[in-house]
Amino acid sequence: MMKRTATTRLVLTAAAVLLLAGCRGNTSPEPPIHLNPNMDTQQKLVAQRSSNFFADGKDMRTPPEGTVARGELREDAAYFTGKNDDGSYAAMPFVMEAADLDRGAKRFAIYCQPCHGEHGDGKGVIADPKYKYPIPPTSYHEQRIRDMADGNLFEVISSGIRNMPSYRQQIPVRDRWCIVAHVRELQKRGAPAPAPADAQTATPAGTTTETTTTETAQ
Amino acid sequence: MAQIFPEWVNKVPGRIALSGGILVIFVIAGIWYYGSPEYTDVGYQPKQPVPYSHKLHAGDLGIDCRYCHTGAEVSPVAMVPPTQTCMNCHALIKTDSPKLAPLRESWEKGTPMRWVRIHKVPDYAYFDHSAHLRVGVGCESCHGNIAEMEEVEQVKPLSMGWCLDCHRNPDMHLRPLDEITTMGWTPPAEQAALATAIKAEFNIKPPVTCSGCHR
Repeated sequence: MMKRTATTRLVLTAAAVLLLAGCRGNTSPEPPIHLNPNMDTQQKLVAQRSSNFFADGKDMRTPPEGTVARGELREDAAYFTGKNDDGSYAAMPFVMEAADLDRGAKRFAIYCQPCHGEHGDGKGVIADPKYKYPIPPTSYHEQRIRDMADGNLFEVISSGIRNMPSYRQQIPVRDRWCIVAHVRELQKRGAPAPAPADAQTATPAGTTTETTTTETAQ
Repeated sequence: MAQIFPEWVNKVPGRIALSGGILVIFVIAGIWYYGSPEYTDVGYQPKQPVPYSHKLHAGDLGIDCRYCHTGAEVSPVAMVPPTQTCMNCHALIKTDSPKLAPLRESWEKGTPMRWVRIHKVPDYAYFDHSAHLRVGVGCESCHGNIAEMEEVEQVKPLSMGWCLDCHRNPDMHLRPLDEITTMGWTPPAEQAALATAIKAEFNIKPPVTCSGCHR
């Protein structure tokens, strides 16, 4: 009899341990515990990890204003700023190959399309009223934008304008020029036909996604 | 002659052998099950300073991974975006949301957001995002379908054995370069042929030697 209770206790304890330990794949907000954590985390500088070497937790000191890294001297003003030395807006600084245009289209889809839309008509996903974006993004098909020099578009991508933020940090210089070429391409194609979807503002919020989809399909 | 040991002692060696054997099996099974990164690491879902929803941003809004993780294609580190990237939109959207208060504070004071790192390989393994993305290994292969996660959790063990599984036979994880950030991608029926073509195009020979990942 005594033996049986002992077995029962053992089984219950085992069950409780298993219950507490859970199964593989259970979510947990606690950081993983490794059986052997040797050198998993080392005292060295790792990207985006703070260090205790300096009081502010940064790995490196901020370089003084005007520091130029090796190979980063940006002498070609037209290429890097979109402006010629005399301050006028530059034309496309290099010949666009098919691969560059393709690159531009793909980069456009990543960085510009959420606001400006696939066709550059300012009807990106963010223009959906349910996201309450207060200012409609600009359409590239406005005459004002069509008249802009390539360098001007490049400068807007680089530095931002009004409510559009700067994309200098996110998009490398060459890609920005490729995107400018894609914007020109979109302007050549022209704005998509307004279609019934243009009555978008009048439709209730729930149906807007649907109308946007039909519009894209055309 | 009086017996020194009572009769039940006869059973003791057998019992010890039996229970010892069972114990060893349990310990081995326990370490196998609970010591594996499948248990220790998978499912790690830390609480972030802002409950950022990948499902909303990457799923519903359809923003490409690279809009924020700009380093992924060009450097070893995919990069958690700086506050500035959030403010690209949130300077105008949800400007009074209490959930975004830490973000606004970071923006005003110029202090970094303290996002909690989820996916981490040990510091002695030199993983490079760009090397994988350039040859058609998609984000999803290691991170799972992020576009369906409200809050991101680790879904793969990121253990050495798991890395090697793919390094030895990457066929099922290769996709066309245009699809690397696609979530919910299903390999086409002719995946084997596709994988062969991709491997030939980029001359893919995943290293399985120590120095492939360790220095």
